[in-house]
Amino acid sequence: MKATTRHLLPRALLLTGILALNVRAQTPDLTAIVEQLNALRAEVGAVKAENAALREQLGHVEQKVAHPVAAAPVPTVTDVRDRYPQIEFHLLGDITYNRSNETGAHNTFALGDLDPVVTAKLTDHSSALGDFVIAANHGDFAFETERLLLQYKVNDSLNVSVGRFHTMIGYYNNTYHNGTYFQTTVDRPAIYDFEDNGGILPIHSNGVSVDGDIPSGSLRLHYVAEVANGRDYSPGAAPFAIEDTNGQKAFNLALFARPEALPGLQVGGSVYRDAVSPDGLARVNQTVFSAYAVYKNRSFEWLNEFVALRDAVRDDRTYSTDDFYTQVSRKFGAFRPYLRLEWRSTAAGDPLIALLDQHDTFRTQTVGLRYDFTPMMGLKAEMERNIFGHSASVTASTMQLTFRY
Amino acid sequence: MKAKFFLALLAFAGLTGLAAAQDKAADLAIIANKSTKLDNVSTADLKRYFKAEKTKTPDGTKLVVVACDQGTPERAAALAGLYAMNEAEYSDYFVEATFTGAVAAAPKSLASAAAVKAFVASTPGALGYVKGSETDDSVQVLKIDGKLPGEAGYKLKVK
Repeated sequence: MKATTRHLLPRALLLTGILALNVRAQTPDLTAIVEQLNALRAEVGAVKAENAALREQLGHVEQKVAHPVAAAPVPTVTDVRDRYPQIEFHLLGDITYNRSNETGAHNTFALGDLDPVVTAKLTDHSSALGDFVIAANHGDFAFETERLLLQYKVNDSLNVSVGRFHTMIGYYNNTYHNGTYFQTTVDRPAIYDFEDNGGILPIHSNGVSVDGDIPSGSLRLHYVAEVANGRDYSPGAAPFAIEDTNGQKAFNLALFARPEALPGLQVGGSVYRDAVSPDGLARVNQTVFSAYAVYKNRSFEWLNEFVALRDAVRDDRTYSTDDFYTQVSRKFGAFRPYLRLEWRSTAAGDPLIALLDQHDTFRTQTVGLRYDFTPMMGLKAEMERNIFGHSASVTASTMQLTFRY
Repeated sequence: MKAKFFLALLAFAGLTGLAAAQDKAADLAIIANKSTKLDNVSTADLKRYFKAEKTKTPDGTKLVVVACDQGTPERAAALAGLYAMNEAEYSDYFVEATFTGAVAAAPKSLASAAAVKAFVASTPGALGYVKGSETDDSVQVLKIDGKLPGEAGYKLKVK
């Protein structure tokens, strides 16, 4: 037994040493295995999380498929197209401060016209427009109907309007209406002054207007044809003729092009013809020619218009009044400086113009700055110099706060 | 060796597909109801449609233009690429056009691209826009000057 123990003990010690060495040698491998195990656990965790997220998404998709309307309400055709009338209401207005060296003029604040505009889409093809003015410059507030139109659009080439509208003479008159917000300057060019502001043209018409595109490829021609009562020049007549004063109707034909090659360019002209019979005067055949070239894009505008007024008095001569203006402006951020020059040569002795007390031949120089400090509001600062004949001149400066909503 | 080549080819195809998908997502697709029969339109005509200067397709279908609500990237892309206007100018443009009687009303706008797509899909004559990656067979995706969203040279981009 002792001999056996003596033999076994060294062997056991040797084996223990070997095992200990072996365990020590294998310890780094176990650490790596543990690390790998941990990494695998982390990956399994991530996969489980991803799986849960995908299951959740799948659940949403299945729910949408099962209940598409409840899950994502989508407007139907009825929501957008079939609810008529679709009525919109807008308001334009301005407040002006004016200073002038004209004899008898005072520096003054003035309320401009307040212009409620209502449009209504009645059906897919028809609409109505009401453009009214609450005027504060008549000693009292007055309510006027500037435009009242019923329109039926057959297609892009045929749009029929009936009612009261701005006569399609030249460019400005049918681009800028009442309200000063959309026009760059404080006032309209003198040639397009409204009738009740001393204007010499038939700015408004009561009648029928037809307009539309003319198939013309890249030239993009557009026509306008109007039949209306014409203007009543009789002394004391209401500026807006409600009824015709004679059986003769006024005709106006306008044509313009917006060439595709130069977006922003519009070139056109018009011919207006009417027989006017003011109280106490011989009949006058009135013709108004206009021609214009306008370039207008997001930041730059250049308007050029020429208007020739021919009043042919029966058994007398023809009186010619010509007007030309050019207006240029450039937008720099919220600021838009502008310049307008206008010339008018007025025929001495024209009986219609004499009735309006607008005898003057003049030149007008207008320079100003518009500041659109917030959407739907603008501030204009302007200086205007009117030179009458060859001598007298009047200088006026104006600040105008204009808005729309 | 063959396996490695096959894998490389697969990876290349995958990357190419991914790039194409990203290009499509970055493009503003013009979508139309299939009744319009529109397929390829010029940029000039497209701008006229969206500005309501032209309200019918060549075959006489009346167009119903629909927009995305303010603040969406699709609307921002349309304002830049189709109107060349900012929000204030866009608003002024349609109000002014309404005043002249040239337009009866501004385009309706919907809250999301999904709503625009669903509306276009279900409304005869409808014309709208969504991201190129959001189109499907329910609507007609228009070619602009011969290019589809995702193709090289496509001009309408979503930033």
